[in-house]
Amino acid sequence: MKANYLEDLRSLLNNYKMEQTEKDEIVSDYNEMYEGYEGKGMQDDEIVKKLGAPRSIIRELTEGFKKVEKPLPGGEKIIALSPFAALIIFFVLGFGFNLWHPGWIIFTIVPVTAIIVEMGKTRDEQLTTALSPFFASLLYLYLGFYHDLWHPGWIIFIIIPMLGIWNSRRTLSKLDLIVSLSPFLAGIAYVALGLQGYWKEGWVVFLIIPMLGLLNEKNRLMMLLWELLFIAGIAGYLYVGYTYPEYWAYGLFAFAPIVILGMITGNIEIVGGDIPKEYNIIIVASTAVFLLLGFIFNLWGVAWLVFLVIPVYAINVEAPKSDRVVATTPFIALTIFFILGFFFGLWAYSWLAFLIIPIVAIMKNA
Amino acid sequence: MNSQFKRGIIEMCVLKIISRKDMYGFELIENISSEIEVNENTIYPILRRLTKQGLFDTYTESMSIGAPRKYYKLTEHGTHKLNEYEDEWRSFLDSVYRILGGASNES
Repeated sequence: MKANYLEDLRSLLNNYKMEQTEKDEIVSDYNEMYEGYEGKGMQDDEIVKKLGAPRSIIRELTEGFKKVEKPLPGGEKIIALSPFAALIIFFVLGFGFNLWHPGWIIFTIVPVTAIIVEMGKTRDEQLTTALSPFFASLLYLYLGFYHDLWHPGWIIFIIIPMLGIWNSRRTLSKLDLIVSLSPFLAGIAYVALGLQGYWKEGWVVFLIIPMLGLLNEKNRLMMLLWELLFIAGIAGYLYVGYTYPEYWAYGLFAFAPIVILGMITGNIEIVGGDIPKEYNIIIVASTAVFLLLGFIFNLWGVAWLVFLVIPVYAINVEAPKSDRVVATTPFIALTIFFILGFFFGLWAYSWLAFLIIPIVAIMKNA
Repeated sequence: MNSQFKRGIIEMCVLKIISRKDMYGFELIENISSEIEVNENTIYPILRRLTKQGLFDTYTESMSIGAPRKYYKLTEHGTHKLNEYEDEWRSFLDSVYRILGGASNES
Protein backbone atom coordinates (compact mmCIF):
# COMPACT_ATOMS: atom_id res chain seq x y z
CA MET A 1 0.00 0.00 0.00
CA LYS A 2 2.82 2.39 0.90
CA ALA A 3 4.60 1.47 -2.32
CA ASN A 4 1.42 2.22 -4.32
CA TYR A 5 0.95 5.52 -2.53
CA LEU A 6 4.51 6.64 -3.26
CA GLU A 7 4.35 5.38 -6.84
CA ASP A 8 1.12 7.34 -7.48
CA LEU A 9 2.72 10.42 -5.96
CA ARG A 10 5.83 10.06 -8.10
CA SER A 11 3.86 9.56 -11.30
CA LEU A 12 1.80 12.69 -10.57
CA LEU A 13 4.97 14.68 -9.81
CA ASN A 14 6.34 13.59 -13.17
CA ASN A 15 3.61 15.67 -14.81
CA TYR A 16 5.36 18.83 -13.55
CA LYS A 17 8.51 20.63 -14.64
CA MET A 18 10.45 20.06 -11.45
CA GLU A 19 14.03 19.08 -10.69
CA GLN A 20 14.44 15.34 -10.19
CA THR A 21 16.11 15.93 -6.80
CA GLU A 22 13.09 17.93 -5.66
CA LYS A 23 10.72 15.14 -6.69
CA ASP A 24 12.93 12.61 -4.89
CA GLU A 25 12.87 14.76 -1.77
CA ILE A 26 9.09 15.03 -1.79
CA VAL A 27 8.69 11.27 -2.23
CA SER A 28 11.24 10.66 0.51
CA ASP A 29 9.40 13.06 2.86
CA TYR A 30 6.15 11.20 2.28
CA ASN A 31 7.92 7.91 2.80
CA GLU A 32 9.14 9.24 6.14
CA MET A 33 5.68 10.44 7.14
CA TYR A 34 4.11 7.15 6.07
CA GLU A 35 6.61 5.18 8.12
CA GLY A 36 6.14 7.55 11.03
CA TYR A 37 2.42 6.87 11.15
CA GLU A 38 2.97 3.15 10.59
CA GLY A 39 5.23 3.24 13.61
CA LYS A 40 2.37 4.74 15.60
CA GLY A 41 0.23 1.73 14.72
CA MET A 42 -1.98 3.40 12.11
CA GLN A 43 -3.51 1.33 9.30
CA ASP A 44 -2.86 2.09 5.62
CA ASP A 45 -6.28 3.65 4.96
CA GLU A 46 -5.94 5.82 8.08
CA ILE A 47 -2.52 7.00 6.95
CA VAL A 48 -3.75 7.84 3.44
CA LYS A 49 -6.64 9.78 4.98
CA LYS A 50 -4.21 11.64 7.24
CA LEU A 51 -1.70 12.48 4.51
CA GLY A 52 -4.29 13.05 1.78
CA ALA A 53 -4.54 11.02 -1.42
CA PRO A 54 -1.79 11.94 -3.92
CA ARG A 55 -4.33 13.48 -6.31
CA SER A 56 -5.71 15.75 -3.62
CA ILE A 57 -2.32 17.05 -2.43
CA ILE A 58 -0.52 17.34 -5.75
CA ARG A 59 -1.61 20.97 -6.36
CA GLU A 60 -0.28 22.06 -2.98
CA LEU A 61 2.99 20.22 -3.55
CA THR A 62 3.56 21.63 -7.01
CA GLU A 63 2.52 25.21 -6.32
CA GLY A 64 4.52 27.48 -8.61
CA PHE A 65 5.60 24.68 -10.97
CA LYS A 66 4.36 24.42 -14.53
CA LYS A 67 2.91 21.23 -15.96
CA VAL A 68 4.88 19.27 -18.56
CA GLU A 69 3.34 19.96 -21.93
CA LYS A 70 2.46 17.02 -24.16
CA PRO A 71 1.41 18.70 -27.42
CA LEU A 72 -1.22 16.97 -29.51
CA PRO A 73 0.21 16.05 -32.92
CA GLY A 74 -0.63 18.76 -35.45
CA GLY A 75 -2.44 20.77 -32.78
CA GLU A 76 -1.10 24.16 -33.88
CA LYS A 77 -2.09 23.49 -37.51
CA ILE A 78 -5.58 22.53 -36.44
CA ILE A 79 -5.93 25.84 -34.54
CA ALA A 80 -4.65 27.81 -37.53
CA LEU A 81 -7.01 26.07 -39.94
CA SER A 82 -10.13 26.21 -37.76
CA PRO A 83 -11.21 29.79 -38.75
CA PHE A 84 -11.03 28.89 -42.45
CA ALA A 85 -12.89 25.65 -41.90
CA ALA A 86 -15.54 27.53 -39.92
CA LEU A 87 -15.87 30.18 -42.65
CA ILE A 88 -16.24 27.59 -45.40
CA ILE A 89 -18.85 25.63 -43.44
CA PHE A 90 -20.65 28.90 -42.63
CA PHE A 91 -20.84 29.89 -46.32
CA VAL A 92 -21.95 26.42 -47.35
CA LEU A 93 -24.71 26.50 -44.72
CA GLY A 94 -25.66 30.06 -45.66
CA PHE A 95 -25.53 30.04 -49.45
CA GLY A 96 -26.40 26.39 -49.86
CA PHE A 97 -29.15 25.93 -47.30
CA ASN A 98 -30.00 29.49 -46.29
CA LEU A 99 -28.96 28.60 -42.74
CA TRP A 100 -27.15 31.86 -41.98
CA HIS A 101 -28.87 31.59 -38.68
CA PRO A 102 -28.09 29.44 -36.74
CA GLY A 103 -25.17 28.60 -39.07
CA TRP A 104 -23.09 31.34 -37.43
CA ILE A 105 -22.77 29.04 -34.42
CA ILE A 106 -20.10 27.16 -36.38
CA PHE A 107 -17.66 29.96 -35.48
CA THR A 108 -17.57 28.68 -31.93
CA ILE A 109 -15.38 25.83 -33.22
CA VAL A 110 -12.52 28.37 -33.44
CA PRO A 111 -12.19 29.09 -29.71
CA VAL A 112 -13.31 25.57 -28.82
CA THR A 113 -10.52 24.05 -30.95
CA ALA A 114 -7.94 26.42 -29.47
CA ILE A 115 -9.03 25.61 -25.92
CA ILE A 116 -8.96 21.86 -26.52
CA VAL A 117 -5.52 21.96 -28.14
CA GLU A 118 -3.94 24.36 -25.63
CA MET A 119 -5.41 22.93 -22.46
CA GLY A 120 -5.04 19.37 -23.78
CA LYS A 121 -1.25 19.87 -23.72
CA THR A 122 -1.22 19.78 -19.94
CA ARG A 123 -4.32 17.59 -19.52
CA ASP A 124 -5.76 20.53 -17.64
CA GLU A 125 -8.48 19.47 -15.22
CA GLN A 126 -10.40 22.65 -15.98
CA LEU A 127 -10.75 21.83 -19.69
CA THR A 128 -14.45 21.08 -19.41
CA THR A 129 -14.94 24.28 -17.37
CA ALA A 130 -13.33 26.32 -20.13
CA LEU A 131 -15.52 24.68 -22.75
CA SER A 132 -18.72 24.91 -20.73
CA PRO A 133 -19.61 28.57 -21.61
CA PHE A 134 -19.75 27.59 -25.29
CA PHE A 135 -21.87 24.53 -24.75
CA ALA A 136 -24.09 26.28 -22.21
CA SER A 137 -24.63 29.16 -24.68
CA LEU A 138 -25.43 26.77 -27.53
CA LEU A 139 -27.91 24.86 -25.42
CA TYR A 140 -29.41 28.10 -24.14
CA LEU A 141 -29.86 29.50 -27.64
CA TYR A 142 -31.34 26.19 -28.80
CA LEU A 143 -33.81 26.15 -25.91
CA GLY A 144 -34.65 29.81 -26.55
CA PHE A 145 -34.98 29.85 -30.34
CA TYR A 146 -36.60 26.49 -30.88
CA HIS A 147 -38.62 26.00 -27.72
CA ASP A 148 -39.00 29.58 -26.50
CA LEU A 149 -37.55 28.51 -23.16
CA TRP A 150 -35.43 31.63 -22.58
CA HIS A 151 -36.81 31.43 -19.08
CA PRO A 152 -35.99 29.17 -17.24
CA GLY A 153 -33.47 28.05 -19.89
CA TRP A 154 -30.94 30.57 -18.51
CA ILE A 155 -30.43 28.24 -15.58
CA ILE A 156 -28.19 26.17 -17.86
CA PHE A 157 -25.42 28.75 -17.22
CA ILE A 158 -25.20 27.46 -13.67
CA ILE A 159 -23.27 24.56 -15.18
CA ILE A 160 -20.22 26.86 -15.63
CA PRO A 161 -19.39 27.58 -11.96
CA MET A 162 -20.62 24.11 -10.99
CA LEU A 163 -18.15 22.47 -13.36
CA GLY A 164 -15.41 24.78 -12.08
CA ILE A 165 -16.05 23.58 -8.52
CA TRP A 166 -16.50 19.95 -9.59
CA ASN A 167 -13.20 19.97 -11.45
CA SER A 168 -11.48 21.26 -8.30
CA ARG A 169 -13.04 18.49 -6.21
CA ARG A 170 -9.73 16.76 -5.56
CA THR A 171 -8.47 19.72 -3.59
CA LEU A 172 -11.69 20.05 -1.55
CA SER A 173 -13.00 17.97 1.31
CA LYS A 174 -16.29 16.19 0.62
CA LEU A 175 -18.21 18.59 2.84
CA ASP A 176 -16.61 21.66 1.27
CA LEU A 177 -17.45 20.30 -2.17
CA ILE A 178 -21.11 19.85 -1.21
CA VAL A 179 -21.22 23.31 0.41
CA SER A 180 -19.66 24.90 -2.70
CA LEU A 181 -22.13 23.23 -5.00
CA SER A 182 -25.14 23.87 -2.76
CA PRO A 183 -25.91 27.45 -3.95
CA PHE A 184 -26.29 26.19 -7.50
CA LEU A 185 -28.32 23.17 -6.54
CA ALA A 186 -30.50 25.39 -4.35
CA GLY A 187 -30.91 27.78 -7.31
CA ILE A 188 -32.10 24.93 -9.52
CA ALA A 189 -34.43 23.67 -6.79
CA TYR A 190 -35.80 27.21 -6.34
CA VAL A 191 -36.62 27.61 -10.03
CA ALA A 192 -38.16 24.12 -10.10
CA LEU A 193 -40.31 25.00 -7.09
CA GLY A 194 -41.12 28.39 -8.62
CA LEU A 195 -42.36 26.82 -11.82
CA GLN A 196 -44.71 24.74 -9.68
CA GLY A 197 -46.05 27.99 -8.24
CA TYR A 198 -43.94 28.20 -5.08
CA TRP A 199 -41.94 31.36 -5.89
CA LYS A 200 -42.97 33.05 -2.66
CA GLU A 201 -41.92 30.43 -0.14
CA GLY A 202 -39.49 28.44 -2.33
CA TRP A 203 -36.54 30.68 -1.35
CA VAL A 204 -36.19 28.72 1.89
CA VAL A 205 -34.29 26.07 -0.11
CA PHE A 206 -31.36 28.50 -0.11
CA LEU A 207 -31.10 27.99 3.64
CA ILE A 208 -29.56 24.61 2.85
CA ILE A 209 -26.34 26.57 2.08
CA PRO A 210 -25.68 27.87 5.62
CA MET A 211 -27.13 24.67 7.08
CA LEU A 212 -24.54 22.59 5.23
CA GLY A 213 -21.79 25.11 5.92
CA LEU A 214 -22.53 24.90 9.64
CA LEU A 215 -21.65 21.20 9.62
CA ASN A 216 -18.05 22.50 9.68
CA GLU A 217 -18.66 24.03 13.11
CA LYS A 218 -16.25 22.36 15.51
CA ASN A 219 -18.40 22.91 18.59
CA ARG A 220 -20.96 20.10 18.19
CA LEU A 221 -23.41 21.64 20.63
CA MET A 222 -23.30 24.96 18.82
CA MET A 223 -23.76 23.20 15.49
CA LEU A 224 -26.83 21.40 16.82
CA LEU A 225 -28.26 24.66 18.14
CA TRP A 226 -27.77 26.40 14.79
CA GLU A 227 -29.33 23.55 12.82
CA LEU A 228 -32.30 23.38 15.19
CA LEU A 229 -32.86 27.12 14.90
CA PHE A 230 -32.83 26.85 11.10
CA ILE A 231 -35.29 23.96 11.08
CA ALA A 232 -37.52 25.75 13.59
CA GLY A 233 -37.25 28.97 11.54
CA ILE A 234 -38.29 27.24 8.32
CA ALA A 235 -41.12 25.37 10.03
CA GLY A 236 -42.33 28.56 11.73
CA TYR A 237 -42.14 30.60 8.54
CA LEU A 238 -44.07 28.04 6.51
CA TYR A 239 -46.62 27.54 9.29
CA VAL A 240 -47.37 31.26 9.52
CA GLY A 241 -47.49 31.62 5.73
CA TYR A 242 -49.82 28.73 5.10
CA THR A 243 -52.06 29.41 8.08
CA TYR A 244 -52.36 33.15 7.37
CA PRO A 245 -51.63 33.48 3.63
CA GLU A 246 -51.97 37.27 3.71
CA TYR A 247 -49.24 37.58 6.38
CA TRP A 248 -46.30 35.71 4.83
CA ALA A 249 -43.95 38.53 5.78
CA TYR A 250 -44.71 38.03 9.47
CA GLY A 251 -43.43 34.48 9.12
CA LEU A 252 -39.93 35.97 8.75
CA PHE A 253 -39.93 36.64 12.47
CA ALA A 254 -39.45 32.89 12.91
CA PHE A 255 -35.86 33.47 11.75
CA ALA A 256 -35.21 36.16 14.37
CA PRO A 257 -33.45 33.73 16.79
CA ILE A 258 -30.93 32.87 14.01
CA VAL A 259 -30.16 36.55 13.40
CA ILE A 260 -29.80 37.20 17.13
CA LEU A 261 -27.49 34.19 17.64
CA GLY A 262 -25.53 35.19 14.55
CA MET A 263 -24.98 38.69 15.84
CA ILE A 264 -23.99 37.43 19.29
CA THR A 265 -21.45 34.97 17.89
CA GLY A 266 -20.24 37.45 15.24
CA ASN A 267 -21.10 35.07 12.39
CA ILE A 268 -23.35 37.50 10.54
CA GLU A 269 -21.60 39.99 8.24
CA ILE A 270 -23.01 41.92 5.32
CA VAL A 271 -20.10 41.21 2.97
CA GLY A 272 -17.79 38.33 3.79
CA GLY A 273 -14.99 36.25 2.32
CA ASP A 274 -11.99 37.44 0.36
CA ILE A 275 -14.08 38.82 -2.52
CA PRO A 276 -13.71 42.61 -2.81
CA LYS A 277 -16.88 44.48 -1.87
CA GLU A 278 -17.31 45.96 -5.38
CA TYR A 279 -17.60 42.48 -6.89
CA ASN A 280 -20.34 41.59 -4.43
CA ILE A 281 -22.18 44.77 -5.34
CA ILE A 282 -21.82 44.16 -9.08
CA ILE A 283 -22.92 40.53 -8.81
CA VAL A 284 -25.96 41.43 -6.71
CA ALA A 285 -26.83 44.43 -8.91
CA SER A 286 -26.50 42.52 -12.19
CA THR A 287 -28.59 39.65 -10.82
CA ALA A 288 -31.23 42.17 -9.73
CA VAL A 289 -31.26 43.86 -13.16
CA PHE A 290 -31.42 40.47 -14.86
CA LEU A 291 -34.40 39.33 -12.78
CA LEU A 292 -36.07 42.73 -13.19
CA LEU A 293 -35.71 42.68 -16.99
CA GLY A 294 -36.91 39.11 -17.01
CA PHE A 295 -39.91 39.27 -14.74
CA ILE A 296 -41.14 42.79 -15.62
CA PHE A 297 -40.33 43.01 -19.34
CA ASN A 298 -40.11 39.27 -20.06
CA LEU A 299 -36.69 39.87 -21.66
CA TRP A 300 -35.17 36.60 -20.45
CA GLY A 301 -33.68 35.99 -23.88
CA VAL A 302 -31.45 39.04 -23.80
CA ALA A 303 -31.28 39.99 -20.12
CA TRP A 304 -28.39 37.60 -19.47
CA LEU A 305 -26.14 40.11 -21.26
CA VAL A 306 -26.09 42.17 -18.05
CA PHE A 307 -23.91 39.47 -16.52
CA LEU A 308 -21.17 40.43 -18.97
CA VAL A 309 -20.68 43.49 -16.78
CA ILE A 310 -18.96 41.23 -14.23
CA PRO A 311 -16.05 40.00 -16.42
CA VAL A 312 -15.80 43.42 -18.11
CA TYR A 313 -15.43 45.09 -14.70
CA ALA A 314 -12.92 42.43 -13.63
CA ILE A 315 -10.85 42.98 -16.79
CA ASN A 316 -10.81 46.74 -16.25
CA VAL A 317 -9.68 46.35 -12.67
CA GLU A 318 -7.40 43.32 -12.82
CA ALA A 319 -5.91 43.19 -16.33
CA PRO A 320 -2.83 45.24 -17.30
CA LYS A 321 -3.86 48.59 -18.78
CA SER A 322 -2.41 47.72 -22.18
CA ASP A 323 -4.62 44.60 -22.50
CA ARG A 324 -7.90 46.08 -21.32
CA VAL A 325 -9.28 47.31 -24.64
CA VAL A 326 -8.52 44.10 -26.53
CA ALA A 327 -9.82 41.96 -23.68
CA THR A 328 -13.07 43.91 -23.55
CA THR A 329 -13.86 43.73 -27.28
CA PRO A 330 -15.19 40.12 -27.26
CA PHE A 331 -17.85 41.21 -24.78
CA ILE A 332 -18.73 44.29 -26.80
CA ALA A 333 -18.87 42.17 -29.96
CA LEU A 334 -21.08 39.60 -28.28
CA THR A 335 -23.45 42.31 -27.03
CA ILE A 336 -23.73 43.99 -30.45
CA PHE A 337 -24.14 40.63 -32.15
CA PHE A 338 -26.85 39.45 -29.80
CA ILE A 339 -28.82 42.71 -29.64
CA LEU A 340 -28.87 43.09 -33.44
CA GLY A 341 -29.94 39.50 -33.80
CA PHE A 342 -32.46 39.35 -31.00
CA PHE A 343 -34.27 42.64 -31.56
CA PHE A 344 -33.86 43.07 -35.31
CA GLY A 345 -33.51 39.49 -36.51
CA LEU A 346 -30.18 40.35 -38.16
CA TRP A 347 -28.49 37.09 -37.26
CA ALA A 348 -27.21 36.70 -40.81
CA TYR A 349 -25.15 39.90 -40.55
CA SER A 350 -24.70 40.60 -36.89
CA TRP A 351 -21.92 38.00 -36.57
CA LEU A 352 -19.79 40.60 -38.41
CA ALA A 353 -19.58 42.31 -35.03
CA PHE A 354 -17.01 39.70 -34.07
CA LEU A 355 -14.66 41.16 -36.65
CA ILE A 356 -14.02 44.04 -34.27
CA ILE A 357 -12.01 41.62 -32.12
CA PRO A 358 -9.15 40.98 -34.60
CA ILE A 359 -9.43 44.55 -35.95
CA VAL A 360 -8.91 46.07 -32.48
CA ALA A 361 -6.13 43.58 -31.70
CA ILE A 362 -4.32 44.39 -34.97
CA MET A 363 -4.72 48.16 -34.46
CA LYS A 364 -3.46 47.84 -30.92
CA ASN A 365 -0.36 45.89 -31.94
CA ALA A 366 0.36 47.84 -35.13
CA MET B 1 -6.59 33.30 10.70
CA ASN B 2 -5.27 34.30 7.28
CA SER B 3 -3.41 31.23 5.93
CA GLN B 4 -0.45 33.28 4.66
CA PHE B 5 -0.06 34.89 8.07
CA LYS B 6 -0.31 31.52 9.81
CA ARG B 7 2.27 30.00 7.46
CA GLY B 8 4.71 32.80 8.34
CA ILE B 9 4.28 32.16 12.04
CA ILE B 10 4.69 28.40 11.59
CA GLU B 11 7.89 29.05 9.63
CA MET B 12 9.29 30.96 12.60
CA CYS B 13 8.23 28.17 14.99
CA VAL B 14 9.93 25.58 12.78
CA LEU B 15 13.17 27.58 12.91
CA LYS B 16 12.90 27.97 16.67
CA ILE B 17 12.22 24.29 17.39
CA ILE B 18 15.08 23.13 15.20
CA SER B 19 17.39 25.73 16.78
CA ARG B 20 16.98 23.82 20.05
CA LYS B 21 17.67 20.37 18.63
CA ASP B 22 18.31 18.79 15.21
CA MET B 23 15.17 16.97 14.12
CA TYR B 24 13.76 14.86 11.31
CA GLY B 25 10.53 15.93 9.65
CA PHE B 26 8.10 13.61 11.37
CA GLU B 27 9.59 14.38 14.78
CA LEU B 28 9.19 18.08 14.10
CA ILE B 29 5.54 17.63 13.08
CA GLU B 30 4.80 15.76 16.30
CA ASN B 31 6.56 18.45 18.27
CA ILE B 32 4.83 21.40 16.66
CA SER B 33 1.38 19.80 16.40
CA SER B 34 1.25 19.36 20.18
CA GLU B 35 0.94 23.16 20.36
CA ILE B 36 -0.45 24.34 17.01
CA GLU B 37 -2.89 22.66 14.65
CA VAL B 38 -0.75 21.95 11.58
CA ASN B 39 -0.95 19.73 8.58
CA GLU B 40 1.92 17.50 7.42
CA ASN B 41 1.52 18.93 3.96
CA THR B 42 2.39 22.38 5.34
CA ILE B 43 5.52 21.46 7.30
CA TYR B 44 7.49 19.51 4.69
CA PRO B 45 7.28 22.22 2.01
CA ILE B 46 8.48 24.75 4.62
CA LEU B 47 11.44 22.50 5.48
CA ARG B 48 12.33 22.07 1.81
CA ARG B 49 12.04 25.79 1.10
CA LEU B 50 14.08 26.88 4.11
CA THR B 51 16.75 24.29 3.24
CA LYS B 52 16.87 25.67 -0.29
CA GLN B 53 17.29 29.18 1.17
CA GLY B 54 20.26 27.95 3.19
CA LEU B 55 18.59 28.25 6.59
CA PHE B 56 18.94 24.51 7.24
CA ASP B 57 21.62 21.93 6.55
CA THR B 58 20.55 18.31 6.26
CA TYR B 59 22.24 15.05 7.07
CA THR B 60 20.93 11.48 7.12
CA GLU B 61 21.11 8.84 9.80
CA SER B 62 20.44 5.23 8.93
CA MET B 63 17.88 3.28 10.90
CA SER B 64 17.75 -0.40 11.79
CA ILE B 65 14.27 -0.60 10.20
CA GLY B 66 13.00 1.53 7.36
CA ALA B 67 14.49 4.31 5.28
CA PRO B 68 17.29 6.53 6.68
CA ARG B 69 16.06 9.66 8.42
CA LYS B 70 16.87 13.12 7.15
CA TYR B 71 17.77 15.49 9.99
CA TYR B 72 17.54 19.26 9.75
CA LYS B 73 20.13 21.47 11.44
CA LEU B 74 19.95 25.26 11.68
CA THR B 75 22.77 27.02 9.80
CA GLU B 76 24.44 30.27 10.86
CA HIS B 77 22.33 32.06 8.28
CA GLY B 78 19.28 30.34 9.80
CA THR B 79 20.17 31.51 13.29
CA HIS B 80 20.56 35.05 12.03
CA LYS B 81 17.18 34.89 10.27
CA LEU B 82 15.50 33.42 13.34
CA ASN B 83 16.77 36.27 15.51
CA GLU B 84 15.51 38.74 12.95
CA TYR B 85 12.05 37.09 12.84
CA GLU B 86 11.85 36.95 16.63
CA ASP B 87 12.67 40.67 16.95
CA GLU B 88 10.09 41.56 14.32
CA TRP B 89 7.50 39.32 15.93
CA ARG B 90 8.03 40.78 19.42
CA SER B 91 7.86 44.32 18.17
CA PHE B 92 4.71 43.45 16.21
CA LEU B 93 3.11 41.88 19.29
CA ASP B 94 4.01 44.92 21.39
CA SER B 95 2.29 47.17 18.89
CA VAL B 96 -0.78 44.92 18.83
CA TYR B 97 -0.94 44.89 22.64
CA ARG B 98 -0.58 48.67 22.73
CA ILE B 99 -3.50 49.00 20.31
CA LEU B 100 -5.61 46.51 22.23
CA GLY B 101 -4.66 48.16 25.51
CA GLY B 102 -3.44 44.91 27.08
CA ALA B 103 -0.15 44.02 28.71
CA SER B 104 2.98 43.73 26.56
CA ASN B 105 4.51 40.29 26.10
CA GLU B 106 7.79 41.70 27.32
CA SER B 107 6.35 42.44 30.72
